[in-house]
Amino acid sequence: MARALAGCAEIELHVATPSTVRHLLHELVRVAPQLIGAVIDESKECLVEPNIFLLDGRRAVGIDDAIDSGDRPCLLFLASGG
Amino acid sequence: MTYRGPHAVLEINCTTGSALRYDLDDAIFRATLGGVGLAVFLLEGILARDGIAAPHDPLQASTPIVFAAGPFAATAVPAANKHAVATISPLTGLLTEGLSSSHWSASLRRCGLAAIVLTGAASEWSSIIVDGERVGFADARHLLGQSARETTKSLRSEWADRTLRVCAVGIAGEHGVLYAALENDGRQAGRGGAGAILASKRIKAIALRGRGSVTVADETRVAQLAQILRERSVGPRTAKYRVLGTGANMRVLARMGQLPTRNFTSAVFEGVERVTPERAREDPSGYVELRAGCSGCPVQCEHMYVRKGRDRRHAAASEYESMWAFGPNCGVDDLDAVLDAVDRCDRYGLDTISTGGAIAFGMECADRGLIDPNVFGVPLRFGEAAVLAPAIDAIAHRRGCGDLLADGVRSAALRLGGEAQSFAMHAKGLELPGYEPRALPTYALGIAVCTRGACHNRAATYDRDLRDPSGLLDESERAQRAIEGEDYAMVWDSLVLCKFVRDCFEDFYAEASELYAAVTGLRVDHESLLRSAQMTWETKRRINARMGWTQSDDRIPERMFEPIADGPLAGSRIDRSSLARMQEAYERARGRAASEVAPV
Repeated sequence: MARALAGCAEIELHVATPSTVRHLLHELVRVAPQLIGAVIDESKECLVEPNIFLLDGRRAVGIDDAIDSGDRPCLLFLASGG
Repeated sequence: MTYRGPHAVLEINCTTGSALRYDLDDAIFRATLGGVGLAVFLLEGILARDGIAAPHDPLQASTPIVFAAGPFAATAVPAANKHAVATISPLTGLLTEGLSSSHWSASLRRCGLAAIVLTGAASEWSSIIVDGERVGFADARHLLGQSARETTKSLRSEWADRTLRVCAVGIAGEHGVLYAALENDGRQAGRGGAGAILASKRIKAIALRGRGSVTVADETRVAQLAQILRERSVGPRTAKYRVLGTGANMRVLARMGQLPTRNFTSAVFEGVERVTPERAREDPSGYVELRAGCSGCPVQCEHMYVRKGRDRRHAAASEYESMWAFGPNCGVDDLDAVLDAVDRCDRYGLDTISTGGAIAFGMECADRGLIDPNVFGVPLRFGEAAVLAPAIDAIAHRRGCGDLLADGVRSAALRLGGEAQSFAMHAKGLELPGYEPRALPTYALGIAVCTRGACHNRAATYDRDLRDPSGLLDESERAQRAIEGEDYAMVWDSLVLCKFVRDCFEDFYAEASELYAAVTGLRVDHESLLRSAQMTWETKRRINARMGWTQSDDRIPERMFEPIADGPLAGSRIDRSSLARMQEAYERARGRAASEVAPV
């Protein structure tokens, strides 16, 4: 979903490390404002459910969780079925 | 308060051609809600009345099949024109209950019916026509060889009625493929072989002409609640379904390293980007995208694709499970071949998950020397796109090796013998859908205990694992999650609401209770909805026990105890003793709840 709205598969974000997912989200809002509404909540402080940030393909993280250099965050829409 | 809405059950004996119409008490609707709850309640009653129990061949004429409408069908409630089908699966020998939707579901209630039950078998191929209160049989021999869609067209032409709503079986049902689907309005009740059961009664189609009105208890409140749900249904919480469709799961699961590939021998499919539905969407010069959905649903989730220049009637629905079944699960990265396979299954009336699972199983058999790899004229091997079409054709017509695969992987493995059973990916005989149990432990429990076999929708436990992939839960917590997931799904399947709007409710049980009261006039609450779910679960278990099920049947494939071979989740596997503890905890919790629920 985010990919379709952003028009690209990956976005490069620059945040100081160590940091938190909240800072990552704020940077994402700045770089890809088209995600606000469908993927990022209007408050710009959280994701619209059921979008999540997944780190390194196996760890879902909350808004105040720490991230560090080398982490590979991925924004996923986790509604499934069909 | 009296239940508002159709109370009648129409029971048709296909052997004698006789029909009996009777009304159900309000208490039954209050207890079962409708849909799946009502369908399994009626099925159990008929099995008991007719003395049907193990050992029993589901394809015998005496097997009943029940169609029960959701209580919101033919009302203003969106995403709710749905009905349930319940019967004994020829694939598992146990209960199967499925859902379908759209106009046929609404017509059922407009005929004044809460449910239709078929028993017996006709002496010649027939169609059943229900025209309001009248019921008739018509010769259907000339319809043989037609798809469900062609059958619909033919019957509409013969009855000079373009509004006739038809549920039919295709060629696969006629040939007795054990995972043949039922189709109405382009929607399928696919899993478990209900199409084979209808066909075993020599019934090609059930056509409905429903012109009555369906009243609700509180019209103003229903309109208000429906409007709220409709507005939420076109918001961000269904965006994926509206913009991309369920096929978008493919990239998500690939990113998570849990995309079952080549009959679950891998969790990473190197060709995934070439076979996602987005690939077609992102290539407007190569493909035409068509949109579809159920009547009365604002989501319109179905995204269909067809190669530019090809007949649009061959547009294939790009649902995740279907695309996965012929793409990653068969190792095929040719989008055209996958779309063609899905379209073929829809035309033949085949369940795509089981068909893809059977072909993937066949590919591994050929790889291991258990099946001649040239059996379909094209090499039967992982990644061979060209073999999908002849394999599906052979299955639908039960030709050659297609006859073996048409009975499902459990039966095929038994016939082949040796090591084949170790890689037959099924639970209770139903082929696995496209989620990786080794990455999703609650889901592994869900499919082990599911009364229907390997079904991802009866507990939706995969969803719970996916939304909290880092959850460190003990076995009791996972068992509790599985039960909560099953209960939640049973309430949805009895109401019947489309699960694709599940994120549109802020407090589901409270809002669903209010909706049910406004539509039916019967007051329910969170607690009574959960009691109904528990009661429905007990009914399902009793039906299965009657058909010979024991707890030893609650198993997952042996491959699930081996580690995932590759990707970020390499090494993950289901621990046998942990699964056993989850199952014990599950049985204890279900047993406790059973002692607290009074039977209807």
